[in-house]
Amino acid sequence: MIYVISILLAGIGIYGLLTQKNLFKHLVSLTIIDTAVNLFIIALGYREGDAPIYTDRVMNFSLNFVDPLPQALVLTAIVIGVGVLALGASLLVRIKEKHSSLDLEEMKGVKE
Amino acid sequence: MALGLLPLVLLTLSIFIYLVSKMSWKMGALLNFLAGLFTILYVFTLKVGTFEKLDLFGLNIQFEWTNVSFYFSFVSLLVIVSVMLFSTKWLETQKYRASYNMFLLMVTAGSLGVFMAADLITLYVFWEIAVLSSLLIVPMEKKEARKAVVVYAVMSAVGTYAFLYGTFLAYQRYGTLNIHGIAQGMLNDTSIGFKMAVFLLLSAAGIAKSGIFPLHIWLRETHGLAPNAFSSVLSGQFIKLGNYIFLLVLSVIPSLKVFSEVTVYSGIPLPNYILIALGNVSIVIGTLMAIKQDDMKMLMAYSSVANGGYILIGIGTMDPLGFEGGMFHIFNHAVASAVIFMAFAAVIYRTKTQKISEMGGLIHKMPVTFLVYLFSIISLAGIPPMSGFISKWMIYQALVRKGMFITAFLAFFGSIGSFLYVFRPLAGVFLGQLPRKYRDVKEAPAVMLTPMVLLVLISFFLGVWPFPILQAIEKIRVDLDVAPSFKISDPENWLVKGFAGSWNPVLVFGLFLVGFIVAYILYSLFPRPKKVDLLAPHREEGTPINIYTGGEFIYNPDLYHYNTKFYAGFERMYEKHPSWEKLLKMFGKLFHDAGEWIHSWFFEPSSSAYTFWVVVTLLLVFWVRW
Amino acid sequence: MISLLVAVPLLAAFVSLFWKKASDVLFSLVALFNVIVVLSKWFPGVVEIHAMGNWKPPFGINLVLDDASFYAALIVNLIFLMVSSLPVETKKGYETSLMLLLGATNGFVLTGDLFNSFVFMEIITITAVTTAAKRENFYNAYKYLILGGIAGSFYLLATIFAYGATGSLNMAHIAMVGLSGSSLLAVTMLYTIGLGVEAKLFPLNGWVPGVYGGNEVSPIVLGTAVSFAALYMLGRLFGTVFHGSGLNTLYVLSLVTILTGEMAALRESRLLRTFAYSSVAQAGVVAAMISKGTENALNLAYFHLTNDVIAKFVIFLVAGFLVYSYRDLNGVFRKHKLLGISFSMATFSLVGFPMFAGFQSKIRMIMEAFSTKDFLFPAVLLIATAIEVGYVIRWNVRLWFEEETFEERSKVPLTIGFFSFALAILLVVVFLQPDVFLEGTQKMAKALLDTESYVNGVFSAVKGGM
Repeated sequence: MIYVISILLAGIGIYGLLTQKNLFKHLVSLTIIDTAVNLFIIALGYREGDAPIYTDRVMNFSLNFVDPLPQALVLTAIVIGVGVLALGASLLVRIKEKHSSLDLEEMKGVKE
Repeated sequence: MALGLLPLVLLTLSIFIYLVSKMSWKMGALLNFLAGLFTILYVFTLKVGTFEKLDLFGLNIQFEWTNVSFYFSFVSLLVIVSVMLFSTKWLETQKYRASYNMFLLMVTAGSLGVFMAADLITLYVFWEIAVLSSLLIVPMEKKEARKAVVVYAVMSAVGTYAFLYGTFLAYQRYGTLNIHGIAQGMLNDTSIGFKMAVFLLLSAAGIAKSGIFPLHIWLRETHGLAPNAFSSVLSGQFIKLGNYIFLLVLSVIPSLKVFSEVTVYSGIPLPNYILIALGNVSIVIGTLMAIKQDDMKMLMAYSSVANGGYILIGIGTMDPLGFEGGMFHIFNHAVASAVIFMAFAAVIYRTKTQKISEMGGLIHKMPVTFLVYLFSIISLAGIPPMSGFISKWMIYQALVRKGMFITAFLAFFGSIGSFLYVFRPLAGVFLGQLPRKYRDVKEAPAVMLTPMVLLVLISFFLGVWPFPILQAIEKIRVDLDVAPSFKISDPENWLVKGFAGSWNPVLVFGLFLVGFIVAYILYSLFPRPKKVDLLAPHREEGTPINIYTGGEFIYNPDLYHYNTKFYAGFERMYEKHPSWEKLLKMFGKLFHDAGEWIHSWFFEPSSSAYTFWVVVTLLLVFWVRW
Repeated sequence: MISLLVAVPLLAAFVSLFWKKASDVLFSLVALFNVIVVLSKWFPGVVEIHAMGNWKPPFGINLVLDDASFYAALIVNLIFLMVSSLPVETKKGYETSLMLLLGATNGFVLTGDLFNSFVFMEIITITAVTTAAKRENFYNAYKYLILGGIAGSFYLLATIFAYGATGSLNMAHIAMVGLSGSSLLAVTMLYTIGLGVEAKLFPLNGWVPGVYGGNEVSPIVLGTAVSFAALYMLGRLFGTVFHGSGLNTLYVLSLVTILTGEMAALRESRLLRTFAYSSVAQAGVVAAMISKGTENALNLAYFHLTNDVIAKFVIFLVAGFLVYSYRDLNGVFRKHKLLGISFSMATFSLVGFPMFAGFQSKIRMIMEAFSTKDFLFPAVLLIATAIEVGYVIRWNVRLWFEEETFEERSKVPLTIGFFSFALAILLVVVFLQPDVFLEGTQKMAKALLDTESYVNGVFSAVKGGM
């Protein structure tokens, strides 16, 4: 079920990238895609059972807990996403300064 | 000294000469000339049949010195050394003297390497060295040459890379790059289609370089706009590189035997016939286009196209007379073309213009230049007693014997046409009225005249006594197994034997000489014509006014010189001809526009478009691979 | 020891944030240090690893140094050393991101873990975008960021699928366990797209002209070192880890890349962008050879890549200097003969004229293709070369022979002149003696294809050395 949501989110993100004219919306769409992928990763790691914490039940070697590795991966991926977002936002500020608009059709001085 | 070292030594010497020329270009040009002289003498001492393997550049380089190598090297070096001598004075008109010297020597080195190469990769390496050096000389002088050199580069690249593709096709099939090895492989191969493909790919380099239709359009602008003395090298020697390829493809790889199942017409195999057809078209195009030209050098560039066609036809028939005629014509065209371009360079050096319509009457001021030009065009048009006649006569004999009437007709047409177009500069530049602005033009300097005179004398000598060259060619022909039993040259009886008869050059020359002496005696006995200054009535009071034409008095004799639109009546017959140039330029534009389209769709739009392409690729890839 | 290659530049980058005045010196020192460390481990021959945090593989992340990653690291660090010696104006204010880029590229090349490579790839993207934004090239850099972000997501997805299929993120472990069927298909395709953006494959390479043509430092660094790293990873993934599957798609994409890149270059009228397209096409050539999968093909691919990287360094160095010193480029080489000669030699090497290195790699590639009965690739390569001749000659003639508008002659900084000429001479030397590079790339190709010794080497090294 989560997978469907994840793919839906990714679809929204791609749709945003394809159809939106405002550059900021591109950045937001990229973040949506990043979120979708992160969601997908976490969903992959899910197992029926417990959270990945060592408790008594786990000590009986049931090994039936959620996979912790994807969660670690996602932490890193979220940070990277934040970094990209920050860089994108600062670039957008400068683009607005230089081209006086963030709208693709109204940007001045963009050579084709 | 080892065989292969010669081109390499010349290459390193060229860099040294560049540095010397930076200090004194005269020293550099002189060194160039001495190096050329040394090479030509050295070439005579090399033994035929030397074979050498070098392990240079991580490749297996094989050199071989055959009769063919000697002949081509001799012809090339003759032209180049003459131009080098010519350049020692002419170079003062140029801006990039040091580079010119360096690249000229590199062209020499590259050409020698091509002729010495025993395997196709070596040939390609030295071929590219020669081409690259020439690419850098061509744009040195004139502004329009810069666009022309790109066309030249691309057409040469097309021919060369087709050659490379063919080489590796053959390598993959026959396992060797050595020319003889490939010939052997082709003899044993039964797949006609494959052999034809390799044959055509290899000859593409020759087509591009000799200026045969359909890759001939670069000649006009490149020869026309290159620095004047270098046009001599381009037309006289560079084209021979292409002819060498033809020789390789047609005779060293014995096309008669290789394609013996696909003969088309009186024993000529299909691929040869294709080349001969292309040669025919080149003759027609070259001749007709040359007749139209106003620019002296572009006119002669088209002449090179036509003569390239002759050579190709001669060699392609694989008939002993045709073969020897083609080979001899290589020499004749090289010498005649070189002299003509050098004569043009001398005239341009003195008059500072290149258009025939601006010149006239230079025979009064530059008589020696006129004479060398006259003798060269007599040779080129194929009129006895110059050597050009013998080569053309042999080609005609071969064509008639093979019954190739269309080709023969076109060859005759080309010959007559050639006299039409070489006469145009003669009349326009040298005969007629001398424009007032050239009253003080002097004869070309002695250093520039010497090589021209020497070359013309050689051509003259060979017209009277062609046997030294013919015997060299005959040795080649016997080596390459083209009807070896047929003997053509017969020095004891002063005869050049053909099929329909023999030609006795000495006898004919004797007749010409007698005729000339008689005419001269008559000329000196009878009263001379008087030279009249057309403007005298306007300058001095009291001079009787009895000079007029068309009911008008003459105020500006310059206007009565006929040199513009010389053959207007003839030209009108084919004015609206389809232009091959436009077709090929259309191809160029096609690539350009394809690039535009690619750019606008994939490379410049916004990030939305990028995402679009990513998604499309993803879907496509998964759909295809699933 | 290997990890120092990554750690020291990162540390220095952080330090330079606080100590801005010394960042230039810091950069040079760090690059020099890196080169010394790399050279001290000349072609190890065996697989050396450094297990981070002493976690034995396949647990934890490990850095791997074998012949292949050694060669890649060598090229990358040498290029950064040369960049760090360039005059200050070239990289003023960007030394921090360049140091980060150095660390990240080293990490990308040396890592033996898929997720680690994702992280480093994202760092490369971020720092490359920063570098690309110099000279107010913000819009193009932004587009690169978006595209790089999407590519990163695909790369991450591919990594996760690989994890899902094999239960491990370690390259050696995955190579040992092996993927199969649909998971192999999904993973290889996603990696093709994810890496394809960085490796400039069609049609994912739209960002290239904007980024390479925007300022004078980004093509020198991105077009050479980062491209090398990306194409190295392509070889590593498809050669070592996936045992050569999924190569057909790569082959087709790269052939189209070659042709579209060259045709787009033909119509370009700005100098830096023209050679940006040429970079695209050459990356396509290298990718096509990688996709053949044999040892000889990989050997020649990286040989060609090395030649291309050197030639492009010279070209972008000279072009970058000239484009921003003169308004009108006609006839500009007459003012700068040495730069012109180096530039011309480099462009001739690109085309493959004899006397320069490019000839060796192109001829051998064609020979190799024919010997495997591949008739398409040589035809495409030769057509592309014919087009290349067109624009190379056009630019050379324009830069040497056109009439110049009068402008003051700018002084050429010593390092630019020295590097361009020295590298151009190197190209001639490589032509005369191609084994200089061929030996190295031979070892690299062997190491890339030798999955067994990679796996054994990684697992047998119990404790990674320092």
